[in-house]
Amino acid sequence: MRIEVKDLKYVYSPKSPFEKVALDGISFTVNSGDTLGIVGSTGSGKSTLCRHLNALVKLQSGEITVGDIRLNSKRVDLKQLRKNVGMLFQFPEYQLFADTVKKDVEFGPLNFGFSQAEAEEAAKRALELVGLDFDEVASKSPFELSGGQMRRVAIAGVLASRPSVLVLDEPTAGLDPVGKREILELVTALKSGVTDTVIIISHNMDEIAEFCNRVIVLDDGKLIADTTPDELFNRSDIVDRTELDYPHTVKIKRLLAAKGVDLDTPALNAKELTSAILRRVKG
Amino acid sequence: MSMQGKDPENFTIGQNDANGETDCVTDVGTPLIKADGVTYSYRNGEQVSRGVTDVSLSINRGEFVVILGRNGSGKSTLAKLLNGFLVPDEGIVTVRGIDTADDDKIFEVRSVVGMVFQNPDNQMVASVIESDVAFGPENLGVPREEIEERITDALETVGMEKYRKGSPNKLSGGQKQRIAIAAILAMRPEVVILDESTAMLDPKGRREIMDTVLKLKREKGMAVVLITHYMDEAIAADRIHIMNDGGIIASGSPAEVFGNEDAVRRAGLELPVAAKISLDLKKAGLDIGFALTDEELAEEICALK
Amino acid sequence: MKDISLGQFYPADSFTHKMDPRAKLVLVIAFIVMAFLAKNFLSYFAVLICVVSATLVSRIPIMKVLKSIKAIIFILVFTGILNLLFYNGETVLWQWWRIKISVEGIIFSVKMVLRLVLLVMGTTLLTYTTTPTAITDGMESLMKPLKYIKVPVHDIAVIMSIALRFIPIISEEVDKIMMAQKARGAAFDNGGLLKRAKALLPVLIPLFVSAFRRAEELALALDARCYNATPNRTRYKVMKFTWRDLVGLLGTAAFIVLVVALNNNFWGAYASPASVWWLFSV
Repeated sequence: MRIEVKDLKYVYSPKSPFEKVALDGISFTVNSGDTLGIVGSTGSGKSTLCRHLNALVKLQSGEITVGDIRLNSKRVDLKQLRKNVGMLFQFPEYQLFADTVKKDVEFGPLNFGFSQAEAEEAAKRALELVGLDFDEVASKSPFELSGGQMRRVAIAGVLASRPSVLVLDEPTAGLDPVGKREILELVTALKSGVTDTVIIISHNMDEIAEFCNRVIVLDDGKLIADTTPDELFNRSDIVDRTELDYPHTVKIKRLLAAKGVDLDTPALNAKELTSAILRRVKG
Repeated sequence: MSMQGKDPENFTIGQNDANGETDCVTDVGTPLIKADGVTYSYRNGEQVSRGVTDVSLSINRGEFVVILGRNGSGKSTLAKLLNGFLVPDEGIVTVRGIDTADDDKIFEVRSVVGMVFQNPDNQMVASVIESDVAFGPENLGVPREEIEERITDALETVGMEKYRKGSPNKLSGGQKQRIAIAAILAMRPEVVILDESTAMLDPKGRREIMDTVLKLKREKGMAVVLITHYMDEAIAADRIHIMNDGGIIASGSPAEVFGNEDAVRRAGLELPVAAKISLDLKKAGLDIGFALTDEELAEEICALK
Repeated sequence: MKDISLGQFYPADSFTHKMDPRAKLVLVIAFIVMAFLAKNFLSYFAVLICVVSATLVSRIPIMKVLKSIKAIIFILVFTGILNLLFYNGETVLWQWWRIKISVEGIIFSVKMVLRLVLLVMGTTLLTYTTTPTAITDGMESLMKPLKYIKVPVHDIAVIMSIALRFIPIISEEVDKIMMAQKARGAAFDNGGLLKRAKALLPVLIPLFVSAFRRAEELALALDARCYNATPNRTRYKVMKFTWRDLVGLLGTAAFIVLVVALNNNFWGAYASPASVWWLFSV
């Protein structure tokens, strides 16, 4: 689903001594099929920007179009918009509330007008997508699951409504390496069939490098780059300004280049880099 | 400290002098913390779940020890056993020779072993930073003038001096966590345990905490125990213990432990990218040494040519 | 998002902002007494001068202070009308059934409204110039004598301090959970009372779960910092009573004396041109 943001501006507590510009003149487009990374230091406006896509904050100035819904129009079909755009917040396991996993996952679909039977079917599919056995967990309380499982239930709760855009705010924060890998593999799996467009907010440049085909960079409420990950890591002016980190693969490539070993490869993950090094050394 | 007055023989002279430097030359031999055959289980009615099983380790003065393990491996339980939050079912934990099971001396144990937790928001008690840092020393009955000095010293150590009069609400996660560390430092402990204190932070925040940890070790000669699941935080450690399923499955220097691929995999951890690449290159038949950091890897590769 | 730990605090570098919170607390109490002492319009006028000059000294825009009245506008109108219609006055202007409007009634209700306005202005001045943290510190210090009758003053102060610290955190969390549930299609603002209450469950339950989790970690953090290690706890922050506080106290005392004097026609002022002063002496 295509998303268009034009000249978006947002100010917190306007006209008070605490006034703060959170977003300033943001314009960008997300095409159907994109996996877009949004990066920037904490407080740069990433979360505020994403909340706009679901009309969770009031549009102050600018234009946003999600699919064929214009957020500026007088009457916005919020249900339709929120069904289309699934939003996963940071630490999503903190929003679980129902007494059983099944009821929690069905919450979204039922709100969006699914029938009970449809909602159950949707919950079943979503739980299986995130790698949980429906029969095993359905009647359990979400609060007796492990941290990683709780997060997957929360993700299922968003996926159950079959959104065509998925916005993930720091989906792997606080997870251990195993949990992290599971979530990221899930995101890749979703792209092939469930949601066509994914937006990821992340501080982890290794993740951005591996999963996103496009990336936008926010700095103090302004959009300072709209590019590909590979390009971004070549532009040290931007990376350094926002105090982002380079992926380790980029750091290694640079160190090698400084020593006269120019690998000249777009490789951004360890596997590709290993084979690039092997090619160079052996060949 | 008033407690020092009560029980002088348990505090070595000079350990809490004005600039916070520890006099650690006198008794290098005795470990600060010693855990011997420690087992602990959580009991919830009928249910019993193992926290840690038969764990022995020691933390020496000025040492940076990292305890690695995935969620549920028992690493946080171990941390809570080291300062007397939990008392072992079997085995014994001593802090400077004091048994942590001794209720009368528990505050002494805790003033020697400071602990910082995961969520910085849940550790602050005041809405003004200096008041929050003052809380620990106040509880210990430190005289006012000395508290002043300790606040300055602690905040300078973590690089947050200029936020002293401010509110913690507007700070970043890393900054808040540095305040939490300062609040522990103000009690002048000899060991700081960071119980997953980097888990909720962004990379910048994690870097800030790692810099602070190294500074504590180098400049203050303090012992630091870092509990984490990020292997790259363990690169600078003096010693690493990998935990899995309640037990320690590997111990040693970073090079020793990271080279133990089997233990790393079993514990569900992930090697730093440089280590992974160097191991893979070796497997592919290259004659390459083990690398922990990106710099080491680059050097190893260049040495090949 | 506004930082609630600051409450209504209006940052400025003024005489009042720099005063000892204890002095300000005492002054507010004195001011309340003063407002209740005032009997005639002349003494009300003195109270008004007092609060206006305090506002000027605090460098708070007078409009900001007046705005705080908006919050109680309903109470003002209600009290005003009730007193106007039911006051048992003698000089009746209009009467129907048990309702009567009298000159005394008009005067009385104007006074009541005026008194409420003055009270609100005075107390908001405290919250505008003092952070909640400072107010807590001040209250703890003023309550100190209660220690001797075994009131755990310090524990109360720690609880208040923690509460203040957590109000912004929890309110931010409420925002976040509400947004997360809205994103899952929850609606909080339609349907009847019962439906609305039920709609809040998906917010309240995660909130409680999180509050308990926070409380657990906080309890450990308090222990890690040796809370209650010794009964001889020291105190870092010392509030200082300065010349400003003395000036403030003397000034307020002067106003109280003035109010009492005006109440009692001390200078025989009302006697002179009776027609002019009538208004003030009623």
